[in-house]
Amino acid sequence: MRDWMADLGSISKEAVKIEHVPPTERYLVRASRALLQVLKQGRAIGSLELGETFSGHQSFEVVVWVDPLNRGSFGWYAAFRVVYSCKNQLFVPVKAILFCFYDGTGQGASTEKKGFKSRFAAVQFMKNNHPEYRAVKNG
Amino acid sequence: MAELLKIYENHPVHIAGRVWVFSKVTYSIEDNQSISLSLAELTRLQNAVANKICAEESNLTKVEYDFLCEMTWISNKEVLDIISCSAPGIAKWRKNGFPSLESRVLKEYFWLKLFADKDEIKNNPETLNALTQIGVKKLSTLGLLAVKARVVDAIDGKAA
Repeated sequence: MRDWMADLGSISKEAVKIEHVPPTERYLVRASRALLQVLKQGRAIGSLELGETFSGHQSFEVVVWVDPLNRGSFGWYAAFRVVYSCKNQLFVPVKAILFCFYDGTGQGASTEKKGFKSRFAAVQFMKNNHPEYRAVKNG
Repeated sequence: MAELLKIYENHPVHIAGRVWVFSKVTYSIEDNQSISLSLAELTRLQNAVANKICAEESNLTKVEYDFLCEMTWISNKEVLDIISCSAPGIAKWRKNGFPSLESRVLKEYFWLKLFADKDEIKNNPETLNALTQIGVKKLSTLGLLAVKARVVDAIDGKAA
């Protein structure tokens, strides 16, 4: 079993990216400000193997959860696409792209507020909406 | 790893409710054809906008205020402490725009939180003194003792 957080933490800041869709400015600001803390304090709760990319790299999707700072507030739910290069059977993480981030705030005028107050609620959401993800127990 | 980068010159970017034209913005094109921005590039763009807004003489708008709060992780409660205002007062200002004096104090506070090189300022008594003087000047104008303490704490890295 991979240590997803160790892999994410080993990727350089230049190779950590944020997908530009949906490009609401509020989403980009909040996600970019939270990103380093997500990588530092987060715990993986789900993963999915996507297989080989066009450029011959292996890619996975990893869902990360960060507990709320205060009791009763929202935690952070973030999903990354992680790209690995494969050399001599060794997977080296080279890039991570954040493509989903929920923190309980509206991310734009037209988008609904989505957030979770516990790891349990985040895992339930993941299981209900993305049954293809494999739950990570001690991420 | 070869990466497909797309560099735009004089590119408009929508940040904090306005369109800003940057001389160069670099996007990455991923394997699934989605477009992404690196954290470093996004931080560069957002910091440039935050710096520009803080340097402007104009009063803070709601969108600018929300943007700077999110950039600095400052909560509404902390703002209430800084400018000694009630929650309904802040709500009113967010709707109608912040008054000039409060805008200036907040912009300076946001700027210090974002850009002040804490170690350099801490080890440089002249800079610290100069900043304290600004705090003192504002204190006398606003009559708020909290501002000075908070500004100095922010420089010292003690602020929450």
